[in-house]
Amino acid sequence: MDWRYLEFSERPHSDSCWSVQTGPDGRIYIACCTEHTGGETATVVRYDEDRDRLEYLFDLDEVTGDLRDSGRATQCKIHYSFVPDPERGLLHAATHLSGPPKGETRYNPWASWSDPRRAFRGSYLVSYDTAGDAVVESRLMIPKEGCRCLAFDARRRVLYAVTYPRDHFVSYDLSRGELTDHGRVGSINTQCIFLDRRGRAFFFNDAGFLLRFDPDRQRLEQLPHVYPHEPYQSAWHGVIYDAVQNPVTGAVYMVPWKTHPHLARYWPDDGPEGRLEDLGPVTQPRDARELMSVNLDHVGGLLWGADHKLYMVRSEWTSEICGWHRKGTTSAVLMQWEAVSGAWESLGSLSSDRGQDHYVSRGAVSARGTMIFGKILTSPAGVYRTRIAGYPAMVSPRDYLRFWG
Amino acid sequence: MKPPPPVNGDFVSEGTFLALPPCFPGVSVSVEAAASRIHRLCLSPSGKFVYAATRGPDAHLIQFAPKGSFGYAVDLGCPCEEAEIIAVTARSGGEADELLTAMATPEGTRVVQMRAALLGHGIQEWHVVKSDIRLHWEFPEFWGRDLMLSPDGKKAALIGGGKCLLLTWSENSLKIVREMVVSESIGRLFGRTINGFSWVDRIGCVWALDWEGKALRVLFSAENQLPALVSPSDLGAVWVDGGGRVWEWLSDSREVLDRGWVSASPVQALCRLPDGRIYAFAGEGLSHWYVLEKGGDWARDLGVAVSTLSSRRYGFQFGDLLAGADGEIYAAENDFGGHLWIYFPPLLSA
Repeated sequence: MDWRYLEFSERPHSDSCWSVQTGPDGRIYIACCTEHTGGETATVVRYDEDRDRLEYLFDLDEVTGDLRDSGRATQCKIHYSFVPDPERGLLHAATHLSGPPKGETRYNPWASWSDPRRAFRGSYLVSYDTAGDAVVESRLMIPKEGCRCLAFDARRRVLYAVTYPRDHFVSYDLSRGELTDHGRVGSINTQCIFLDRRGRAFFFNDAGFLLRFDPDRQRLEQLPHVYPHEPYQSAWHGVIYDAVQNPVTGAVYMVPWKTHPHLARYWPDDGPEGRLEDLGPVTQPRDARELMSVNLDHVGGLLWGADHKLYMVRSEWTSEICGWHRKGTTSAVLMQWEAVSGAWESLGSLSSDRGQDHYVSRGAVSARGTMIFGKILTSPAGVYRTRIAGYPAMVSPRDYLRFWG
Repeated sequence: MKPPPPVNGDFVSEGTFLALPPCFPGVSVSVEAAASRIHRLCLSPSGKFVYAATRGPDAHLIQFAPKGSFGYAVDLGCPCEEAEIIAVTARSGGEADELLTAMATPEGTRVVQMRAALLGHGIQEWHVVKSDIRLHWEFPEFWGRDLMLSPDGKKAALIGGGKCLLLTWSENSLKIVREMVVSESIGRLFGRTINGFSWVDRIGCVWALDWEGKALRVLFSAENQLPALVSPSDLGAVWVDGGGRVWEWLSDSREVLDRGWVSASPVQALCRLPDGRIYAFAGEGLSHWYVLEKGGDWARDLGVAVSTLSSRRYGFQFGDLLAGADGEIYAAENDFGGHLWIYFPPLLSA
């Protein structure tokens, strides 16, 4: 494996990269986010494959008109909210909150909900023309709240999102510009909404149950599937962190936002409620009596390769770091999983020499086969660029587009 | 008077909230999220149970057992289909609680009687008997606002839409004693005694009526205290006007006290404790928890409700508050996946 760390050197205050997505042009788009410094904003970045470097495309505050020094909570992130729109050659991005106003160090969206000066204005939907290299539209999609994650039903031209902090499931009709609130779903945001081939939207709730939204019936229903977990754990916090679809079979592979995460596979069309399979734990065994951070015992960066293998980045840690001691070392390891045999292969560690490396947010693969993974936990933040020997270029890149962030 | 600056705090900073799901975790699951928006509460005569009415066209009645060793919630189902629960009240029926529920149906207002017996200590031994008693005439429009039982449980008053129905409730039948035209009530009925009950109308007049419907009186007439939300209290009632100012009505002395302001609006629910503290949820979309102490001008913002028992849940929207017998407050979460919240306020210093 050939890899390199690419730092957001032109955004020195950046501290996280929450979104990485393959655009309709087959290139990779990246969210450079700043959530811990007041008065900053997110920047959309693209990986330049020919020069092996990052291009800084636009700042979110300028294209939304919600400027970083307005005194309000800032347009600081794109949080799992890039989706491609291949029919029109667009990349849609929805913004998220938590960056404090200028001069402040922390923003609390619950406390400041009704603050007339500081409250977050809302999540903007920004549409970028990947061929013309221009933002073609920017509109306020979710007033007052952020967009935790986004999915796009390209056939119906409807976006799905979960809001933060109120945790409502919403849909947005792109053609009409109409937001529909389908109600609150819990207290813990799902980090991902996935779609099946029929355009139905799926995610898990706080209690670990799978929810399905049927666009034809406009109905959100709870299915009798609970996210797999360890025997010592309850089903609580069984929301998914990341999910990816095998474009050939339609099966969806996912990992939860939960310690000791299990890989699960869901077959949406197998029976009226689909079928959920537990494919076992992904991270290393540990002493369950020790408290463990969900940010340390972590798996992210799922992508389905043109070689029909599943890729993800899992955290690893030395034993003395278990619990809250944090004196050991951590690392991020790129894993490859073969669906037929169920065999795992470790492809090697990703390292930046910039803070801890164990947490990877999202991953994407370009049409030419370069993989990009997002890094948080350092400032400036950045991405890992990897190339795997023998990895094939995509025959039909559109088959591999992922329609959720 | 200038309100205090918005708080930049965190979650509730005084006392403790506990959120109970509308099911028995590990044994049963909750009703569908959209059908569990709780908007009305009622305490059983024994004080052991809290009955919660949810919103929507297929409203459910849920019994919570927050005291004793039971620790469960039972979904009593929909008292009748395609009906919105207006109000619920309970009386003791020996080993059972007998519930009287006012419903708004497509055909009109309906009153439903339910008998629920707890025999033994287990959830499996719970029995629910429903008997639907429909009133004799149709009320095609939604008009009911509140329902109250007399202290002996033998009489009931249903009020709203400029009407008041007085009923007698024997073992298994309801009879209408009298229908009266009255001044439109705002919020809840209060001041329940063996002699009668009270309400506040939209221009701030406090009315009293006996259970026979013979003595209708105005007890107080206010000019600048037009109520937006009225809640019963142990001494009479508390209400908030459109400007966020909170008033307290004292039934015995027939006076109204100015208790101060709540800076956020709208006030979703409020409640007075016997020690004089008034608590309220207020704010659009994402409410904060406020307390008005005696002698205070502005309610203090205590932050956003959160419960961490078993699993974390935030509380954003509330529909009703009820003071419990031991100084606790029950709160109806009027939101998808609504829970019954219990607030344990801090002790007052001597």
